[in-house]
Amino acid sequence: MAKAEELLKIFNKSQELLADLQNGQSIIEELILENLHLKAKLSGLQTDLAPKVISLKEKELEEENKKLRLQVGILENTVSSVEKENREFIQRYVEIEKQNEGLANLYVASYQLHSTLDTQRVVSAIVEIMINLIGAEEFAIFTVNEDSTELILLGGELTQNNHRKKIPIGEDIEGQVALKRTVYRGDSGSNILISIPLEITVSNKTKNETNTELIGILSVYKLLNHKKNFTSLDYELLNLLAGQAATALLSARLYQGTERKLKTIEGFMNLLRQS
Amino acid sequence: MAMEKKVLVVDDSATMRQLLIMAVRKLDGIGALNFVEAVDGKDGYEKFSTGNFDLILSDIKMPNMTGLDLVAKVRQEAGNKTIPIIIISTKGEEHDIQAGLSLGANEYLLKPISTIRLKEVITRLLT
Repeated sequence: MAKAEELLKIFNKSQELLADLQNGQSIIEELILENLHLKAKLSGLQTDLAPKVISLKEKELEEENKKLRLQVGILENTVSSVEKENREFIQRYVEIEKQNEGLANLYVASYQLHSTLDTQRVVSAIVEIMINLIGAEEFAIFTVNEDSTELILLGGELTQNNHRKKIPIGEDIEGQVALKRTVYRGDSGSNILISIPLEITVSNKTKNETNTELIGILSVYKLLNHKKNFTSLDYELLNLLAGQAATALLSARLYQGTERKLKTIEGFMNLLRQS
Repeated sequence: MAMEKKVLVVDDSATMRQLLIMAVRKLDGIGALNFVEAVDGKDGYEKFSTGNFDLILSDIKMPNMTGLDLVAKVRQEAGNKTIPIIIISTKGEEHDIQAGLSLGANEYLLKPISTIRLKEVITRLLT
């Protein structure tokens, strides 16, 4: 009897346990369902947030991009200003080199012209300068005769023999240059490319005045084949050369005149001593 | 201190010799140059034979021996195949230039000389 009661108790307990388990199962099922709901919600939320996150990132990147573009722009400006400066420096360097070249040419020309008191050597120096520094192929150097009526050919580089040895002052282009004492510049078709008066300034202290004396003229008929035109530097050098050549020619002429006079006086003195 | 480079300047024009020496007395990256002058090709060859030169600058049209003959004589000798030679001339026709270069000149420059160009060429040949 007691055993049956005990069995009944156990049965009742098991019934209760079964009911609890069934209850627990329905709770678990509810929880699983809830979990699924939450997962679905979370996934929905993520889908909603993604474009917002992306657009936020995009904005940040755009800002960063703007800053970088600004920096690139500044750097590009700096580079272009440095490049411009560099180009200016190169241009300046070339200009200075050309000036140096001009000065060196003038120095050499002056040195060569004034290193002698012999007229023929002065003429040779002018010839060398005209060929090597100016690039002239055909040219002539004339001097004014003592009466100042004619130009007499002193020398130069003349390939044709029909060049006049004497030109009356005022006749033809070269005579006109000597008369007017102005530089003649011919065009490309002209026989004479340039003709320059060789003048020197002489001061008369007793009369307190200065005069320019014409020593001769320098004419260029042809440039070297590879040289198309005179450059501005050539014109400068020619003008400066004209002054230097005039001084050198006059110095040589005066020295030779003095030498002649000295010899005449010496001869006369010897004659007097002998008598 | 590096040894000064020795340059032989061959030209019958004293003006040209002086101008060349003034123009390239000192070069960037090379330093000062030491010059020996010769008045024509013959004088140039004699001086070249007795000296140890790094460069020759020579005109073409000269008495006694032309610049082209000088270049040919220098290049004929086995030891002188590499010494730089620059011809500086008034003769600017294509066949003149070709004649100079075919004989063994490294460069052919025309008068009136541009010192900027001359400096560039010498610097290139000596470095």
